[in-house]
Amino acid sequence: MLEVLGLRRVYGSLIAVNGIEFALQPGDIFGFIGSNGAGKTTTIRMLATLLEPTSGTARLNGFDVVKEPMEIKRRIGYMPDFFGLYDDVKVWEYLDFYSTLYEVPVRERPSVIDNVLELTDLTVKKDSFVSTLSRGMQQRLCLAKCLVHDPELLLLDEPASGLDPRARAELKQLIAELGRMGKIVIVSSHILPELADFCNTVGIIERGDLMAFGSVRDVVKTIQAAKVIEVHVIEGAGEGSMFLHGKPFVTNTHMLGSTTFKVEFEGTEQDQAEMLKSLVDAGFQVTEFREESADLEDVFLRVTTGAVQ
Amino acid sequence: MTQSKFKQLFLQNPMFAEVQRAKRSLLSEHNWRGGQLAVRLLIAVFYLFLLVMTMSFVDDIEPFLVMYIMLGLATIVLPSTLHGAIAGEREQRALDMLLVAPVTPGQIVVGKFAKALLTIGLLVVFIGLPAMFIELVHQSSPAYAQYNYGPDSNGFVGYFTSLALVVVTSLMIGAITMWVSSKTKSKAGAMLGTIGALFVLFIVVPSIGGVVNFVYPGVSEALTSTSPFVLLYWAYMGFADNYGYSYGYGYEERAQSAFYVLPTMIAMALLTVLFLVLATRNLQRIALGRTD
Repeated sequence: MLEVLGLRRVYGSLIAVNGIEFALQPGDIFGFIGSNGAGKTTTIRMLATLLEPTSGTARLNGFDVVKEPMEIKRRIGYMPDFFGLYDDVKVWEYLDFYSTLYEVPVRERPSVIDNVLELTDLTVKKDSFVSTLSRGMQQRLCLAKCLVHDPELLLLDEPASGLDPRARAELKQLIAELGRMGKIVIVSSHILPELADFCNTVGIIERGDLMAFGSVRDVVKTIQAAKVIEVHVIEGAGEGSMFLHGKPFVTNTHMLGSTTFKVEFEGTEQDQAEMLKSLVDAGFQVTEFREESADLEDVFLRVTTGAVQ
Repeated sequence: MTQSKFKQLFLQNPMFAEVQRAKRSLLSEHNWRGGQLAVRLLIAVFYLFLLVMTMSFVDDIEPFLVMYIMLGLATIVLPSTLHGAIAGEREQRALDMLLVAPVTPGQIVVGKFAKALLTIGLLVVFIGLPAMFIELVHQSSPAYAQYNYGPDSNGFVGYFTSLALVVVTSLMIGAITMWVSSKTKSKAGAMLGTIGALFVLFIVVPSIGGVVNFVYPGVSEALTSTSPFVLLYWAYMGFADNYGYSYGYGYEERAQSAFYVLPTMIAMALLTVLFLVLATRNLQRIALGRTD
């Protein structure tokens, strides 16, 4: 379990991260969303022991980031937003080097290297020089490096930046797989569609403050006070809109066209079903009745102002 | 230093994998192309030339000249080997990944510095041994021993003292390079900084010492002796007076004088430790994000 407890980092008069708090469980894939300069990388670097918090701390399975950095290092895998690999060695030599640093027993190293190469789909590149790998492959090799010691927490800072759509899709699958393996994965990004697909928890950070945190559904719910339901009828959208206006739980209605209108609604799902029934009973020929759900992008735009530090 | 710290740094330091990585990089076909290949061929030709000269003119070559070559090479090779140790990792953006591994900054510095030991070892084998061969030939030849002024050097005392001097100087050069590398963000900056530091230490300071010594004889020998190139002569040929020549002194006096370089060697060894500690501190600051 990862507990982030009042983590704060100040640079002079600038508050980069302002006492953020959250907790993650094994298997959680946490999408850390924020504009450039919002404080994502600073937070991740503090969790990776690469930056001393001004105050606060974080605990990974009981080990304190500030007081026990060496124990934390043994339990995390960190992939920076920008990184370089030793390009004059072969892929397996690169992984062998890091296996040594992470004190993987000598006998286990060959199988560990084979396993992480298989997981990251780089087996065929085992004997290639790192310099010959494409950007996507280097990204996967960096991830493979993060996995040689079977970490409990993975910190991936903008892992998909600079990747083509195919490499991006492969990376998403890989991260989802890591979550299924029971690892806590923190993925930062400012590209929302990247995260929405595979994260089960999200946090939105702006100017160092964690503006929202929770499961994607919960976070979306918190910003969506009223449901918006789009109704399509064969004819009489205006009458339909008038019909529902003033009904219980309906706060507003809008015409979208001669056959479509929108209803802002605050009731439960049961109330929603009742509303549909009343429409049909009143003789409206309903062809479509669907709730417009907000997505992460809506949430992000709603809770942030776009200001960066 | 506690026993556990010693064990952590020198006996159970996973960063010694750096030596293996350096070896792999050195031998990899990736580096046997273009400019790298040209440099390596040049070194091989130079070395063959040195060996041929040694074998052909063994009676005429003074071993200390070979030791000078070794010292000169050390001042070039060690900065070239180590200048990227930390600065290169920063420049390449690979340092973060090293710093999140479960190794301390001290282990990283010692592990990287181990490459210096490997380099020095190669210098001793490839240059020091031919010098020893010359010394052996000279010592075993009665005719040579009688030549001119009797034994023309401090013999094996001089050989081993000067070898030790070259090794200690090389270690110090390596440590200075590590320190400069920990202070800079680019390999080029680290290389220039190291050359600058060595220029000051080996050229500027002894030159100032030489001038002061000329005006006030005997006052600034300590300054002059910061140059290993001056010291090497003293170690091998014997320290005679402020003008540095030994003729007219008996063998024993000269042999004893070889040890005059010992205080400087001790000072160099201490400086080596000091620069490595400073490099470790700089890396600690980087590791905690106290510097950008």
